[in-house]
Amino acid sequence: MLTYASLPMACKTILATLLFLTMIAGLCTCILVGKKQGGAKLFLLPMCTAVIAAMLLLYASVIPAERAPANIPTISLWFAQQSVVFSLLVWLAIAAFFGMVMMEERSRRKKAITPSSIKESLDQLETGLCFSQPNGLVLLTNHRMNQLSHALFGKALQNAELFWQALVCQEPVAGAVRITAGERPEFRLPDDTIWTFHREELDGVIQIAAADTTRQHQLVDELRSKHSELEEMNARIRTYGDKVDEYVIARERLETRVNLHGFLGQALLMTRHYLQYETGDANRIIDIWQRNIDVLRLEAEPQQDADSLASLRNAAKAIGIQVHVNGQLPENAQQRKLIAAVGAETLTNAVRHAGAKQLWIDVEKTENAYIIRYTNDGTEPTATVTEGGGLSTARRKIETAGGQMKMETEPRFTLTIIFEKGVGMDV
Amino acid sequence: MYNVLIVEDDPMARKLLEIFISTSQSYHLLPSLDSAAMAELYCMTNRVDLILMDVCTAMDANGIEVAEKLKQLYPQTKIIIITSQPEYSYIAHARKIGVDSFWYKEPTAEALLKIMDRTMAGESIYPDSAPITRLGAALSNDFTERELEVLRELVSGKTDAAIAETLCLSVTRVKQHILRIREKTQFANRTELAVRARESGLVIGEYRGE
Repeated sequence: MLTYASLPMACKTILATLLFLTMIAGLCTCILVGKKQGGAKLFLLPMCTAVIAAMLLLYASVIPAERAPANIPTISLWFAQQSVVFSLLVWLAIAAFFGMVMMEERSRRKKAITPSSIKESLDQLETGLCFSQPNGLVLLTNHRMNQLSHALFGKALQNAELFWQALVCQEPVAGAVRITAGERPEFRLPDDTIWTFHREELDGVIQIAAADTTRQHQLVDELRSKHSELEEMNARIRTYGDKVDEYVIARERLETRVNLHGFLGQALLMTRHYLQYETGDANRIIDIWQRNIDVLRLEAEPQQDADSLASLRNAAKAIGIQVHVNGQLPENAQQRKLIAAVGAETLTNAVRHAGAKQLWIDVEKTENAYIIRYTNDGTEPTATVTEGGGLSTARRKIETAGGQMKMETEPRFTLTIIFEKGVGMDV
Repeated sequence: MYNVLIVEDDPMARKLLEIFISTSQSYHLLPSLDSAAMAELYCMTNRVDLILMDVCTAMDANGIEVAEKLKQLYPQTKIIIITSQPEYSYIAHARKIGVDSFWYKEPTAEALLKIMDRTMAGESIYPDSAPITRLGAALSNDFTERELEVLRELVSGKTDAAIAETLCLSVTRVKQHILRIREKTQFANRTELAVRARESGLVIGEYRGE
């Protein structure tokens, strides 16, 4: 059996030295680890002592070839007589144990939060961060924020307050573009990314954060585009809404016509019955025919909606009131309708409160507007004229159409509406 | 004999009403109007016993709104709202403001004269509900009141945000209502929904019945 003692002297010396050095390294590691981790790892020290003792014995086993056996302890002699494989196994076990201790320590160091690990983590963030004292002294900043400082102002971030002031109001270097200023400054960098900065105070520490908002901006742009399409669509719906009224009116008129033709058939049947049997009320049949002729005449006439102002004039005339319209009226049908609607409301008020018999609607066309003034021959108001429900409704409609409405009581009661060119509906 | 005022903007429908009424000896026709805006003036200067008031009249005057004012000023004057629009809120609004009767236009003189006679006799005649109309794959009574309110605003050409603001709802809620209406009607998109709803007369844009 190849024993330790039978090895050549050089081999024994190398092996013993290797074991010794391993022991020293292990001992140092254990002391270091035990010191850092406190009581939990203190057991390593006695264990290391025991192993050192064993290694000293191993070292002693080198001696028998050189010295007298009487000087060598029994345990060393026993060890020297053991197999080399046993010695190597002991060495490997010790090395493995210390290896494990070292790996565990390395792993612990990786997981532990240290100033350098914090810095390392911040540097890996996509978000730019800078922590500083209120006077601008930088406590901690990451790579991204430094990159942004270079990209925007061509220099490193040295004072956080100066950097923030630059973000708020200083123009960036060529290539970068400011999108917004103020409390949430935004910039587009040469690589087309958009960064939004934000500053806040956290327990006496100032934090400046920069977030990549490129995607948000893209989404906002897309949303804006969709919104614009939706607006156009809604405008078309509104336009269609006006046209559909005409369609509904035409449909109703058609239904009315069908009904009128039914009456015609009824009149024909009654007439035929009367002529055949000479029974029935001849006068009633004549009445029915008269009405049918009226209706047919009406049907034959082109069905144009009466002009609103003409309707107003006719309706007023039927109750003995004169409506005078002077000047050139706008051609816009909606404006004419509004002018008539305000006329009806004004006339009603003038008759009710002032006993008016005449209403004047004077239209003045200027370069930029139509100005319509309503006056009447009623008694002048003695108290303040307040705008009632009807005039308020009229005002709302006029303002919705882009016009203005105002009332004056001096020198006489005058209601004026103005449709300016280019506002709301063109004049 | 009762003095009757017809307020109707469609000349043919107006003529038809005049023909219907002239067959009765109980009523005397006053010169008809095409706009409700002039009705108050007529009541001021004439004895008007009964008004047949259309809802959508000339000069964009709303017959129901004018009727409300007339009932306050001339409570003795009877008013019958006449319409061919199936707008669901008309009936409730007319009832609320004290209109005497409500009539969906029919092509027979008898039906009109009957309701006029009964109204003049002091009765208040209202249909049970608005006519049921079809909107796509749905019937008008398939919708909730809230859905109809959203539909009315949609028909006016408003955006979801504007509808939400008008009806005090969240935009998400408005979107949900529109989606549900589209599911019921099976219309491909909101434009088609708005167009068909407008044509049906189920909701008249801008009219809120308030």
